[in-house]
Amino acid sequence: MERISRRQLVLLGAGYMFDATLISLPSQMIETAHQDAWMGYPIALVVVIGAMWLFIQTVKRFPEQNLLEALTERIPRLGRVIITLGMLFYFMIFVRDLRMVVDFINIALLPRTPLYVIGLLILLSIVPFVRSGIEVLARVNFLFFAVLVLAVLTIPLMTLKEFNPEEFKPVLEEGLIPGLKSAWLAFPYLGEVLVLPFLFSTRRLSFKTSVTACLLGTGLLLLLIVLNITVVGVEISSRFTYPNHELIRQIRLTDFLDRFDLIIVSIWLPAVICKIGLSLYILSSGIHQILPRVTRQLLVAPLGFLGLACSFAFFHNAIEPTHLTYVWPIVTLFYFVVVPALLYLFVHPKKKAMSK
Amino acid sequence: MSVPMLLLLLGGGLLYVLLDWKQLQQSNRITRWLCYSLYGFAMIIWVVEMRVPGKLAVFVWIQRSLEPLSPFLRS
Repeated sequence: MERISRRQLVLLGAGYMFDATLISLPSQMIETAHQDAWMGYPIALVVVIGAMWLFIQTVKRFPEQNLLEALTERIPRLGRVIITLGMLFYFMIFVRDLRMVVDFINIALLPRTPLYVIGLLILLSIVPFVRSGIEVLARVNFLFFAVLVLAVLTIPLMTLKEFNPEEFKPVLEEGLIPGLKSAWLAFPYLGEVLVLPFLFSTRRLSFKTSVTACLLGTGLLLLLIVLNITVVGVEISSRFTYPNHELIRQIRLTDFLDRFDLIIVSIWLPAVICKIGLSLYILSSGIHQILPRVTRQLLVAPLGFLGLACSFAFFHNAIEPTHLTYVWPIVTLFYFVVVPALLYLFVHPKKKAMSK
Repeated sequence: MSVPMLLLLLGGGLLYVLLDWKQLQQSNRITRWLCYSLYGFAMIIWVVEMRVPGKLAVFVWIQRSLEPLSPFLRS
């Protein structure tokens, strides 16, 4: 039996929300809602917590089982169809994140290294620890994400000199609509945390743990977007593809440490690799649940290679993943609103099992 | 994508097949064939992408087909 502490679970959920979201989403949120962009996160979080409550209530009806196991046991055929659709969705997230990280490394760090080589190197590092299971994944994530949280929390102190609260004004200049638009863009990224009930039973994953993960992930994202607005400025942030990278580049501690961004990126990179790894883990677990005779560990490498191939074939260039953000919420409404509501209403244990 | 790059990617895939060879041979038929077909499918995508770049841009199709449903688009 794999053992994962509550703290590891919180960081796993928060990391799954935070690590890839910070790459370029803030730029689109600020472009859409200007100085009110920060409102998008709290509004979207309310919907995500509601969906999480529905999922947790459904999983609670099946003690000792996660959502994948409960669905295949209670409604074998329809459950497998739902899991297949879910796997397709998480495959798309895996492909998108892999491409975004590869593009970021290529643009910001290794401009002369071919994209394919960067992708292959990331994949070669992900496969071994995803094979080892969720326990190893949670522990690796715990190490790197905890340091990343500390690093993010120090950014306000280091950018205090450039902090300008006047950038927030005028608040609600165009009413609530920009804030709602910003929430529309943020919702699919925050909703990714809904992966947790698919992996853990309520013996380990309580609603309180899930909400803590949501609050931590969203809190860090909120902090970064506030700094984007107040330190870098609305006009400039909305024009960058990677606004948080630009924010960190503002930090110059001393004369000899003028590339502080490299330190932060070197902490963030293993954390985002854990996020991509978790997507790969849920894909292999989902297929194992649909076809129980398949060995999960052996599926990881071929699924990873398929994802790598798709990450280059599915997008023309580095800008397309960001363009997708504007229509992606429509897809996610089905997975993060309709599916939790339907499962909550219609998936109950058999009466005999309930009486036992 | 150039031919050397394609060979590099094929080499990466082949490396994992070789590393897993013993386990793949010992595993059941479904696992074995599912793994081989996933590798094969990945290779087909690489080759198609090399010969006709942008042919399989699935996310672009998704984006274009969902644009009419989106409440707002990039300004």
